[in-house]
Amino acid sequence: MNPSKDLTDGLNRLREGLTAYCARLLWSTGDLEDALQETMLIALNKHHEFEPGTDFRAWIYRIATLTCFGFNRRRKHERPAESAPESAVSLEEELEREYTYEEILRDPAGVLENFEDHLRRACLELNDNERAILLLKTVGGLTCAEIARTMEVPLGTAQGLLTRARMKVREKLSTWARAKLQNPPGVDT
Amino acid sequence: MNCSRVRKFLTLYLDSELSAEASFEVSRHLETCADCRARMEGEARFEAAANRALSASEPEWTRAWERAASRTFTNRRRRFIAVAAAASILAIAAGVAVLLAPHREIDISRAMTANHRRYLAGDLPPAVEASSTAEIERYFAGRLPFAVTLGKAPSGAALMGARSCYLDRTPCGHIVAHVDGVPVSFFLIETSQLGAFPEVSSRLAEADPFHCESGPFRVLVCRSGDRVLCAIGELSHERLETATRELCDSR
Ligand SMILES: [Zn+2]
Repeated sequence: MNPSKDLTDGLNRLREGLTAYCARLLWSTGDLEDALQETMLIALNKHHEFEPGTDFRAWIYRIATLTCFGFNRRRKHERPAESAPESAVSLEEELEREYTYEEILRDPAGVLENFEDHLRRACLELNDNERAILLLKTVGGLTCAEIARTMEVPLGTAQGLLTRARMKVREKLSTWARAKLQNPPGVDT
Repeated sequence: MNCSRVRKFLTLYLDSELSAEASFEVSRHLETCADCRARMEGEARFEAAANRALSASEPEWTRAWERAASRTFTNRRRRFIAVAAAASILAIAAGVAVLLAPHREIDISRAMTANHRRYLAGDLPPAVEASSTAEIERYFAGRLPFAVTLGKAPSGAALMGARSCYLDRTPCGHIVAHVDGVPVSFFLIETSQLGAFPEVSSRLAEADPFHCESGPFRVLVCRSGDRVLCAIGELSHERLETATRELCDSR
């Protein structure tokens, strides 16, 4: 008899997504091993509360999310200050933004060198809730309904937060791309 | 729906997350609007690229998972969980975490690691270069809210320098030495300030000196009179302890 067999099977099915999810959600990947262990321990101890037939993925991602949030809180003092909200922009700038945005969509890696690094950084600059929701979607592959269960928010809120997180990431990349276009290459900022 | 409204919904449309009604409206607009269709293709490309960038795994992560799983699910450790089963679930989670990982990081080691890493990265060079502990004592005089008396440079160690700084928000003296060629950071704080680190306070009550690990580093925390001495470096626990004792033995 092995009561944790279901749990280890379930965890193993999700291991890649869950690992990448925690690694990207955490402020410091140095916390990854501890965060994974704590997630597993809590899952092991609460497994009897899990109702078979309900959504295991949302259940385990919720535990992982809360665990990573806990680790991030402990590192609060290491975070860069939140960037100030942007002020109103002129029509020209609006058009220019739109142009860069389209360029990025057309050829992400062509517009921004090290596109992947920029993207990870943009993701890290989101707040914890937005980052979690974005990662649950892109890395965990959860549906919005699963995300809503994981984060314990209404479906509409989950969809709204997901859309906002995606917009923020795109805006950050556009800003960096514009800075690149305005600065001659070689003058790295 | 107009273009700007459609564009707001495009990513959810691509995820098949919209209600049947909204989805129908978007697709009807896309049939007639080439601009929005192009935008949708761009959004799909971007999402695919984002997905690749964020999902890409690193070898270290795989090892982290394996170590975490083996520490959680090995038989020897399972017994602790059975023993603890009488207590409330959350209390079990906390208790088991302690039993399973006696060397896991605690509050003060996180702060130490952050400072030590910044020293290693060259972000926090010593404010004063010093080759003797007397020079370091002179530097700290007046810069720290407590007096610092040191022993001698640990054998096999080269003193690099010192600076006054903060561990979290607690004033501390930071001394850097290379012990057997390995960079080691020593931090000195006042015992009365230990309240800022509740985890280490309770651990020191159980074991003094207290050892733990933080990433690649070994961490030592011990009390000496009204000072708390902390050391961190990629050395064995024993070597870290002898070096700390020599540096801080002020007799
Ligand atoms: Zn349109």
